[in-house]
Amino acid sequence: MSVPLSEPQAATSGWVEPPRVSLRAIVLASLRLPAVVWRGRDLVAASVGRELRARFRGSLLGPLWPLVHPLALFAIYGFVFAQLFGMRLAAHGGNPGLGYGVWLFVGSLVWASFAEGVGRGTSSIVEHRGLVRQLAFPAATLPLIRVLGAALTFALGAGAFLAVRGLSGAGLPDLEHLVWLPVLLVLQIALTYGLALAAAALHVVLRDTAHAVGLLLSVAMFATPVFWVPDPAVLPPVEPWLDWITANPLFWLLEGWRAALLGAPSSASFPDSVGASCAALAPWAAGSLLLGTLVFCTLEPRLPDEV
Amino acid sequence: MSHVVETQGLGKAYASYASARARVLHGLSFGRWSRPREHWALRDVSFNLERGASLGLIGANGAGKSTLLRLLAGASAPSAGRLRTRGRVASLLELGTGFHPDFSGRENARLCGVLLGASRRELDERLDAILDFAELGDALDAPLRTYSTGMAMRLGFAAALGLEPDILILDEVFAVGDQHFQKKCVDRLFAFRAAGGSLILASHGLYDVRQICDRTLWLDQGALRGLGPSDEVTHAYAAWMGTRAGALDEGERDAATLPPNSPRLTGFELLDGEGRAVRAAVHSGASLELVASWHDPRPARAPLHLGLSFTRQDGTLVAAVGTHLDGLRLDAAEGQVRLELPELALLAGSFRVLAHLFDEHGVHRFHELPLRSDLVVTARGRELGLVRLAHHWHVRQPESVP
Repeated sequence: MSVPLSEPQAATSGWVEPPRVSLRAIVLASLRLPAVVWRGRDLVAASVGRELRARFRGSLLGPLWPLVHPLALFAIYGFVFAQLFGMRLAAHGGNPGLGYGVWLFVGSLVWASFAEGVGRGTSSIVEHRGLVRQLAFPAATLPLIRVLGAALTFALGAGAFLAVRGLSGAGLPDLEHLVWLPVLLVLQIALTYGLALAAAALHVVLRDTAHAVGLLLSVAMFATPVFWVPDPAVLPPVEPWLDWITANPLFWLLEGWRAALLGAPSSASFPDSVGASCAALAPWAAGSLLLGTLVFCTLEPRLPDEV
Repeated sequence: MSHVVETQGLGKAYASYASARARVLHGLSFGRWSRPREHWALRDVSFNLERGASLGLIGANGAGKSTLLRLLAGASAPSAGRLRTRGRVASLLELGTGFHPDFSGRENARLCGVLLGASRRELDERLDAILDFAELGDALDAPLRTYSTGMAMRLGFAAALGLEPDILILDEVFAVGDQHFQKKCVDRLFAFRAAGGSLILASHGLYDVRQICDRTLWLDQGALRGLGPSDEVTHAYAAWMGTRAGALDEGERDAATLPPNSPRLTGFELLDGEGRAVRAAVHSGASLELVASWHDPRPARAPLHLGLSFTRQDGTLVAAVGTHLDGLRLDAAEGQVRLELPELALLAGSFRVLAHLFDEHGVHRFHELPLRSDLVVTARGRELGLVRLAHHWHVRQPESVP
């Protein structure tokens, strides 16, 4: 700790002075935040590992659970929707193995990861108030730990999906899709972290935030095509709403993963390229990080005392 | 001398809002409307700490000790004034901060180290020494929730000290654990200071503060009430508190409950001038002897010290003497200390007399033994007070005119 993990307002002289409430101070703190988080990387890595292991400590299957759970969902969705209801996606018409069930499964996996990251991230600082109150602790890492935990659980599920797909004879998606996966994952983490960071700081000063975030997530889940198919060929009433649907960054997040993992877009009217989804998502991810940084840095001086 | 901690006019205010609505309004107006009521937990505190020095922090509950420690630890920014620290600061303000019940002692020690700011490489180097010091034995790889409070505390203390900080900030925590570990902590603190470490210790144990800290800072309602040599400040504080001065008589211990190889007192009695045991009240001015015997099963480890204290029934420490205060040392496995009190200066009253067996620093108390019955003193004269001061009168006045 020769260099404290977080330096509240340490000037170059080493003097710690009362925080100044000014736009300049907020901008300066925002510029410093990435370095503060980076210095806490050991802490983040150790804590993400702890989050993941804590879920499965004392269980027989242990680290296999993040795989078992999605695989079971996969089987259920596949059986109920593809076999019982015989639902097919128009865009996947030529490939009967990739039915609505698989499509739904991928969407809900991505959505669960996003909602868990934002939802659990919101309460992360308040739940670790001991650390923030007692130590020179980089509070901005707390939502990141939750977001990364959710993203890693998701990545395991996605990996399991690809493995099953490969083994079942359906084959892996084209390489042009697969190379975009890391980019898509980074954008997903950035989008989720920015929102979680802003909500977590806000939740400290206003405890209504967690309730509001829970409500907004429920609304967003139905506004985003997680369960319904944004394809006029399958669901004709969506036709006039397509512009609105594609203005939603979460749509691009889901569409990107669906195109990457299934090898085809939800509808013939959407681009069949993960890169296009990444391009549409990137400004949103950057904007989310900016929003999160500004909100957090505005509230940061108040956190240790009000948490 | 170089200062490792400097503070200038340090103050800390906490905001208290009338309602959640007031809080939102204040935030949305960027601090213009609906100002909160400010409570100053700390105001205008200035002091410096030299490298290798130690500072005690005393004061009643709510006097601002914890707030000052939080500022020094860098957990919170001051509202007024400024502060500067040099070197690595490790703080142990709340034991068990950051511990996870489902992880083993080993994993928790790692996490604790990371939380205190150590890099992974540094932890790899020091983890063994830390775990060694915590003495968890076979429990090292068991989940923390199976640990006793004492074990968890040992782990926290070991992790904080194991990182070899330049400045160590402790809040009351070193009164933790069993007797054996307390002793280890005290030894480790002295070693830390001998190696040039600087210490800030907040404690209610005035005796500990006096023995461990060169200087003491007394906070009263957030303001600096006294700063100076520990003896002076703790005595002023004790006088102000109007209660026990030394708190020397806490928790005497039955020899049967001592760990088997702990040093112990084997006898303590009061004799009159002719060497006979005293059974009844004694007169003020009489000659007395106090005889205490010790036994140390492992005499090689370090010299012992023996202290004797006289306490009035309301807890006021009337007098205390000790071999460590007078530059003596007890090295042997067993022996006897005889304290002559030529002319008892105590005036009428009933006094509790305790023998204390200390470690080589005169801090950790291995064993305490009271006299079987309190010392009851009767006085013939009409003098008032606790003690008779040695005195001579010299009167100077003009011849009175009849």
